[in-house]
Amino acid sequence: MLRVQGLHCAYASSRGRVDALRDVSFEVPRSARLAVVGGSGAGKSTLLRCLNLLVAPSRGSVQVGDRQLTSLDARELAIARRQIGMVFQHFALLHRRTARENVALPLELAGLPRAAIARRVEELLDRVRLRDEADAYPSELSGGQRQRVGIARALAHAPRLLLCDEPTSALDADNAQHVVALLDGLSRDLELTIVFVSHQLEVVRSLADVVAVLDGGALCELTPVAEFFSQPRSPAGARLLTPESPMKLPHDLVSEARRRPGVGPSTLLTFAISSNDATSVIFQTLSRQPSLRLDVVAANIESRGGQSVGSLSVLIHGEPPVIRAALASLEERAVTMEVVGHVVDAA
Amino acid sequence: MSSTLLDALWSASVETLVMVGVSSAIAAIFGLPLGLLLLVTGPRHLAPHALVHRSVGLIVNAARSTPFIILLVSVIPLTRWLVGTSIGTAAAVVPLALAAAPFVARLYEQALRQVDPATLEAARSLGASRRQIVTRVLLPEAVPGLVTATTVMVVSLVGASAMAGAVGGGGLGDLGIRYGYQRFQPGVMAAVVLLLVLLVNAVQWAGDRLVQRLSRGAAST
Ligand SMILES: Nc1ncnc2c1ncn2[C@@H]1O[C@H](COP(=O)(O)OP(=O)(O)OP(=O)(O)O)[C@@H](O)[C@H]1O
Ligand SMILES: [Mg+2]
Repeated sequence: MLRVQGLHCAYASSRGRVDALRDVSFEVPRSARLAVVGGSGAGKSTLLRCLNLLVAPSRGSVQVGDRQLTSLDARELAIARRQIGMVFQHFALLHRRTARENVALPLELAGLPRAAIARRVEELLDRVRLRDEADAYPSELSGGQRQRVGIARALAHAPRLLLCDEPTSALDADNAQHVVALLDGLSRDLELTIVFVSHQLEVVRSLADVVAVLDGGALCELTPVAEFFSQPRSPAGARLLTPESPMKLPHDLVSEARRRPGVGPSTLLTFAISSNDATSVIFQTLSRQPSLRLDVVAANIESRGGQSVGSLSVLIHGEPPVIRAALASLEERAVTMEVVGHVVDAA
Repeated sequence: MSSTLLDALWSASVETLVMVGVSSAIAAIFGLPLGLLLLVTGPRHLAPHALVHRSVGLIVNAARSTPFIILLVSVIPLTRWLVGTSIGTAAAVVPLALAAAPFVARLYEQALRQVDPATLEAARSLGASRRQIVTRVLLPEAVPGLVTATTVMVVSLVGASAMAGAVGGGGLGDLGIRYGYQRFQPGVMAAVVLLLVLLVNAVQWAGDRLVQRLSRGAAST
């Protein structure tokens, strides 16, 4: 249904070039529900906006159904976008239109006859159970009701793909649950493929089939939802599962390391901890190289179902070839880790 | 107050209304496309165009920073060419509209900028063309703000028209100067000021009422 290949996206900003997406590739089969998760600034919104080309990727291709979006001209793209619904965190409704008129907007834009629009709008309002609020303005609706208007609007052209950027983040728990239930029902009834961004783990758990973890613009893992929650495959994924006490990595350290990818004399590593013996394996392996010095920069490990889960970040000081050898033996022992990069003057 | 004076006050009021009304309409007609152009050609907007954006901005700023009294005199050749004369109510409309258009263009730009960018993005996601985004979303959503901006412009044109009147444009300003200042009749002066105050308040009141009616729903921002 959705096929993304080699997606790169760079913004030119005052701080220079920001690579918001780096070589992201994945596929989503029809009727699947993909959750995109990741820390703030990981590139989730950018990825979502690349899927209907609201943001133009600098490289790579996006294919929805059998249409290659990245090869369409502006006119064709506008038409193709009708087949891709989008739902927004803050609803993005028009304040001077009633619920009914908001839902009618996409149909008006497509130039449909008035009678057809009226019929379709009633259908859609029924679908999201907003019959009674049809003539209310957005300011007269609750957050949950507004989001239902937003969903009805996104469904106007019966799209096969629905993109949702944090559809429940602006809602209280009750309303969030209603919206999740609505999306869940819609995806079953309409065989809708859903790609959604969420910070809320409960929402991910109850709506997603597959979880995609973004970190620094790169896709770290694409894991079935049950497996993701029991055993994330990437350090970034593991980090997200312990949000109650987020790791406080020194920010300058991380950003400096990110600017210098690869191994250097002082290398920053993050390990995903998913079993009780993980830390001992890591320290045993590293201590076999006596010339290496280790600083634990941050650790966040907790017990879940009898297993230690979390992440551990260390700075390794030493000769780069020695560090590489140590990393290789860690890899042999199936330790999940990420080389964040290296720093210059961290003694 | 004699009946000739009352007649003079009446016709001066009509002249002021005509001057303000016509120059407001002209300024709004030119100001709206200018304000829209300033907004959409800006960086990361609907139709970014650095050269157009900067040159229109420069012209608008230059026109805005010219003192009205200087504009009044310096456009006389243009006025002659357009209206055939440089005195009278019709002639006063030219410098008034010329001063108000760039002023209101900036106000319109601000009002249009208040429209939530997310709604423009939503419209794009729904398959709207750029033209549709402007006509179906940007302008309709900005209507209350545009009315507020227009009210501000009309109010300041009432003041400016009095000044234009003093240099031969007719209207209340002219009357105030001729009777109140040159012939020293403070009663006429007071009547002129009172009428101007009433006019400004009426405009403001009507503008506010209109904005209120146009802002749909309870808690419009
Ligand atoms: N219009 C823009 N111009 C320049 N940089 C941008 C722009 N939009 C996003 N970025 C940058 O791109 C990166 C990814 O941003 P994005 O909004 O996709 O992150 P996100 O994962 O959605 O974050 P959040 O969880 O905070 O919403 C960030 O570093 C951000 O600063
Ligand atoms: Mg985001």
